[in-house]
Amino acid sequence: MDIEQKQEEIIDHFVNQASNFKGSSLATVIGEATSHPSLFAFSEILSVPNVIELQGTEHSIYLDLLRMFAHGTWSEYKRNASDLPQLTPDQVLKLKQLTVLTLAEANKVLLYDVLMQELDVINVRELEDFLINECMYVGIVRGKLDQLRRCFQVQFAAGRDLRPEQLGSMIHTLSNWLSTSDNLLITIQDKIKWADTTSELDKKHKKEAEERMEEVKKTLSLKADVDFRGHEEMFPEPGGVMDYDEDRSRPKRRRHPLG
Amino acid sequence: MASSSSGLTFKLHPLVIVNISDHHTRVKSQSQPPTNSPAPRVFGCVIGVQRARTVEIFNSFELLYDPSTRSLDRSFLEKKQELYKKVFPNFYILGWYSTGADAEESDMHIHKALMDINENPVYVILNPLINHTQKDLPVTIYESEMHVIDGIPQLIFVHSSYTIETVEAERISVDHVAHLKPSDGGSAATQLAAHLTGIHSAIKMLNSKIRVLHHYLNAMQKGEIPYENSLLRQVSSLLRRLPAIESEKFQDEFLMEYNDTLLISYLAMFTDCSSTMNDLVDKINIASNAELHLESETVVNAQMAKGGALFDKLDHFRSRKLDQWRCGYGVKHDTTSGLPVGSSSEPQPNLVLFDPFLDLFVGGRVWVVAAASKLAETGDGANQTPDKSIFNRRQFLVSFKTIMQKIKTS
Repeated sequence: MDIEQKQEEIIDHFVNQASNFKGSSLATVIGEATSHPSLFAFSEILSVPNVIELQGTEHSIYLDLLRMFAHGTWSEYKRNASDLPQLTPDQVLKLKQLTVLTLAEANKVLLYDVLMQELDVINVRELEDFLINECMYVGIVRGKLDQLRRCFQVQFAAGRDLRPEQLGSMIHTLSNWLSTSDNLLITIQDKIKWADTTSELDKKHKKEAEERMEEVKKTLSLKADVDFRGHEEMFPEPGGVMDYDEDRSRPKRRRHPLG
Repeated sequence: MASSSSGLTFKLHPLVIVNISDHHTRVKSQSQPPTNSPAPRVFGCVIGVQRARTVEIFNSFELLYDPSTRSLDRSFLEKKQELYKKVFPNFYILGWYSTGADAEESDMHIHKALMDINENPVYVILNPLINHTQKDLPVTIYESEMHVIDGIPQLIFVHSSYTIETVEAERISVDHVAHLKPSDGGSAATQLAAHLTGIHSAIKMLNSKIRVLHHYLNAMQKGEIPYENSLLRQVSSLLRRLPAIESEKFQDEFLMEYNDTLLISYLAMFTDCSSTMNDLVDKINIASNAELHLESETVVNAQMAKGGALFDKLDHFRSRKLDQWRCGYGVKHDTTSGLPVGSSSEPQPNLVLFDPFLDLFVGGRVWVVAAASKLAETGDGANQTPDKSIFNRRQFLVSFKTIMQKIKTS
């Protein structure tokens, strides 16, 4: 997003220039714009009426060049090199940077081989230098270089100019994202409800178990007392008066542990 | 009140807001009767730094308001100022604060009184009546300006805008307060619910922002709004980051961590249950020891064997799980549900699982008491001569009493 801010002033400057000049002088303006080191957005310039007028005139190749910089890649340029004017080294560099951006649109993981092919770079060292110096330090791309797996993992890539049909796919992606987050919200709410109901059930269950235990305890204590008195009557002893007393006196003390 | 035209930008720190509200709350709760409807106004001083056109308000302290002379206590103010100067040499008195809904005419007196300390004091007002529908903070900052009204140059209050600026320490404390969970809601369910509610509100905000963007792009496509290329470029670069956590590596690591957590909670639960079973078996042993004096042991022995068998089974299961975890569980993972394959027969470790073992534990106590009563029954069973039975009975009663004491204290 900071690239957009950086570009804003430059874009304004070039748009002003483009609207002031006409015809062949526009060619120089376009040349300047495409070699400017921090400018990656060309659709504003493309929409200036003077520039659109160039279509069909002898300078229309400059318009095509501008379009190439807005939407195309280095390999496209090579294919159509006969139709387009020669590029200065600055412009070549810029086109290669824009190519990286386009590749990053499609995949998040860019293999070194693909990059080397697209950018006409022979060895890995040069590729990495290009990526680091020209792309990451400028700020149009952020990511990690994985040399072992020979790939470049893109975390952020600045946007290129949009072709009109790309707007539809962007809207589609946005609506997908929207529906996913809606579903997620509903799922979270369900989870919260589940947690609450489960804890309620658990508490109830615990209470019931405790109550049952208390009941059993009470019935046992009553039963033991009843049993005890019953046995005394069944076994009267002639010579065990002391025992009898002992047995009798015990229940009073024994009741406490059960209480 | 008109808007300020002095061109000063104000930055307010949260500490000031917390101080003012704390002062107000203290006074309100200490006043009698405590349910007095119009809360008394509190006053104080704000201090901070002024650099060129930026006024940054860092801190504040309270002042005593003398309603008779309608002025603030001057000597106290100066003493406080000296003390604060020693600790914060950079801070100057920038103005004063009070609570209330709006600025009043009497406030101008105080404002003028402060003008000899600072030629352009600021006046911060906090509205303690919180309106929940209002999204902004109920804090307003006024400056004074000389306006000509009815031919007389007068000082009036003019509204100024401000931004909130935080130091790292302030941000941490505000964050902490925002995440306050009820301290007595210690149960897992309430904590989970609170955490999920936080996530829910965060995602809701994200959702509303995505919706705005979606609507905007739709309008742009229909042609209601002219194309804005810079914005479109930014949106496209944002959307390209989108399948943010889709890669296979992420899935693998996520599943591994998920399984680890599940397994650990499973193990913890099993250890807990084995210790419970251990206690249960001990109790059975104690209860059965009294049995040794009596004839029919079979019943108790069978029950003891059952309890022991269950304990062994539990222990075995637990050690198997522990081994699985130790050797990095070569158990295959079901990628859709994330559980180890073949574990569908094993229950999910959630709150529900605690129930059967809780049952056993609580039921175990019931059971032991019931077992003891059974002993009481069999104690006077058949095949015994009267003398022998009496002897047995007394011994049994002794041992029974000790058993009950043991059970009660264990």
